[in-house]
Amino acid sequence: MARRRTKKGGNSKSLLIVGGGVAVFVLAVAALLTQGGNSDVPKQHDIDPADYRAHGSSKNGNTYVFTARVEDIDTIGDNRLLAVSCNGAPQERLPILVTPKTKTDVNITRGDSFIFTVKCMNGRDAEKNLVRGILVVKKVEVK
Amino acid sequence: MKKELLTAILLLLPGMASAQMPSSFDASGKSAQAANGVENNDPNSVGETPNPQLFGMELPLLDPSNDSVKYGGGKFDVGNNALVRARFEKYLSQNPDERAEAKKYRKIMRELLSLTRKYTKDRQKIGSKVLVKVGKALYAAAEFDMDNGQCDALGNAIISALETQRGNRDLEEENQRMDEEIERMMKQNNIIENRNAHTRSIKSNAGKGKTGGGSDASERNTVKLADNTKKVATNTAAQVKNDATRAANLLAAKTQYQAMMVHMFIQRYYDHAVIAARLYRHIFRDGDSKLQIKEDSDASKTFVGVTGMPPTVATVDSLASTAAGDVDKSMESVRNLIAQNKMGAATQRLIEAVAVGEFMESVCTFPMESRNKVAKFWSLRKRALTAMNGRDYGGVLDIAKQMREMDIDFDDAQLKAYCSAKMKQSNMELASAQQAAEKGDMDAAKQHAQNAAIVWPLNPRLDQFQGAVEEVVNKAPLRDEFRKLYEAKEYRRIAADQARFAPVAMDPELKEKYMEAIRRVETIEGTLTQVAEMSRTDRTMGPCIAYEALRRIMREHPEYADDVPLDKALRHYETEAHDFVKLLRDAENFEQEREFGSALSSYLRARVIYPNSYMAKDGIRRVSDVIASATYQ
Repeated sequence: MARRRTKKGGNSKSLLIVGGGVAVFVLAVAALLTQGGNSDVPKQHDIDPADYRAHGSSKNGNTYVFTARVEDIDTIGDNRLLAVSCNGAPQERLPILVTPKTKTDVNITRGDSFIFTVKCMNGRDAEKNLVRGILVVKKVEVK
Repeated sequence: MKKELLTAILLLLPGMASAQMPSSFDASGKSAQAANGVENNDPNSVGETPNPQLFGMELPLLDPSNDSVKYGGGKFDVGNNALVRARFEKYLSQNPDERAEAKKYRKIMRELLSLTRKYTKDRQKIGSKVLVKVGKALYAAAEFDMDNGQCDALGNAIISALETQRGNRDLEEENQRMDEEIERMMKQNNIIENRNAHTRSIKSNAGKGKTGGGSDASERNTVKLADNTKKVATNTAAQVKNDATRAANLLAAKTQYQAMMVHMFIQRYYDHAVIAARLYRHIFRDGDSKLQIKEDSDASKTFVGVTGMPPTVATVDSLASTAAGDVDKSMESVRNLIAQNKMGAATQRLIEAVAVGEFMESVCTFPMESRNKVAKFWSLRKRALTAMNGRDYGGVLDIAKQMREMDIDFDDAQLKAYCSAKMKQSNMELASAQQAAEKGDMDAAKQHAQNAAIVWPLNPRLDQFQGAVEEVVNKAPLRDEFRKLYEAKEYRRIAADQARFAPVAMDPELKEKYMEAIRRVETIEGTLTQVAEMSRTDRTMGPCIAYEALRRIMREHPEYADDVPLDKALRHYETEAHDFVKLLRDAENFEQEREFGSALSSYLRARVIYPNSYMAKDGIRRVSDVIASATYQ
């Protein structure tokens, strides 16, 4: 009876070890997965507006997080096109598109600065023609 | 009565035949026929000069249908006659004669009329005392200048007539004396005859007894008898002579008096004529009052026409009284018409009244205010006639409008129709001229232009057209030169010499090209001047402004790209606004490559340099619409 109890006790321990190992594995996988999603994001630095102006389409797929001042707002339908200026390049203007999908509860106003998370994307117009190198805002935060 | 009035008018106007005023204009050229106011319808009368006589051919015949008067074989428009106009205008400019002297004069004349009327009405004989009173009144009236010596003439005529009759009475008395002497001598002759007969009887008886005795006495009686017979014959002859002299004197006195009386009538001194006529039967008491007027003369017809009987002194009285009454009625009519704002009719009535009764009280005292109204309308009418004679149809219509405002009865429909027709005729000639010019038939074009000028000399389109036609006619090679320059796109050379090339604009084919060349150069030059000034005053954005302005003109007028100065200026400002221009060009290139992000960024950057840039603004709008309408996955 005692051996049976000992045997029963040994199985529970094994199960606990296996469960723990699985959990560790899942966590490790999750951690790895999380780290893999941020691998393409450059370090947070100011986007180079002049560079974007000269080679906008080559930045396709890149995500940028930067602080900028809203110089102009042009509302077109449900979208808003912002002209923003970044620190260090006040004469340059970055056009960024705020769509209804943009995550923000911030009230964007002209003359104020915000932290923008944008992604350079290609789009398609109504005739399915390419619209290259558009900075689409993903997230807006108050500075 | 109209006839009598015109009698006065025409005799009033001895110089009418030389008046220079055509009554109307006839584009056919007939106006020249009536240029002196006379329309001579008698082909045989060319070159003949009428020789008016007092009672001969001088009296006019009125044609009331057209206000014209036939006189001396000619036809006169009384309304347009220069002398009538001059007198009428003088009358309108004069103040009403309300002087105290004039009132005194009129009072004397009224008294004279009243006095003579009294003796005419009562069939009384005027005694010497009354005649003396009349004479004194006449000489008193003659002292006033407004009488113009008429009373003086009448008084003198009366005295002359009376003296003539006094002379006749002397001759009559002489004849009576000679009658008595003849009777006496005839009696004496009878006595002598009886004595001689008695002597011859005694002698015969004595001869049987003795001879001699009474022969000497008989011879003396015979001589006396012969002398008496001679004296009787002489006296009888003298009596016949005296009778003839008396008759001649009487006729001369009557003729002189009648001439003066009729003269006063035709000179429109009606009061004087009436007074003279009424005194006539008191001066010439032989009962003969027939006027000594040449038969079949105009005067005779005029006076006979009133009564149908041979003209008498009473006829003059009647005509003068009627004329005076008519003038007074006309003046009353004038006042009423003016009050009713019927200036045309009022003016016409006043002309008649002034022409017929210029010296009458009702005419002389016509108020100045009313004269001014008539004068204004008369002036318009005169201007209208002048404009019409000058074929200034536009001017005529303007004046007619003013006349219509002054006269509610003024009907300008016919006038407007006439002027409009003439203006259209002229314009149609011009259109024909233009068509001929288009076909290259410059002779025909010139002829049509001349026709247009004849019909309407003041046609505002005429001078320009005719001048241009003549230019083209004279300078046909100019068109060839212009064509060559235009085809070579030498617009600036055309513009530089545009005055010389202006006539080619007459040619519809070349007109638009000419205008285009001038317009092109002027537009470019205007823009260049403007951008140069902007660039000079704003060194920062000036070049950008200039560049955009030149790009705009190039976009709107691609054909201007050939203009060298414009291209040169564009290059200059491209350099001056290098950064701005590069951004715009980059943006346009990105747009072409559908790199709308970079395109929008470039446009935005350009707008930072030149905020009012229309090119940047248009680009931003265009690209923004594409970006916003696209979908992004």
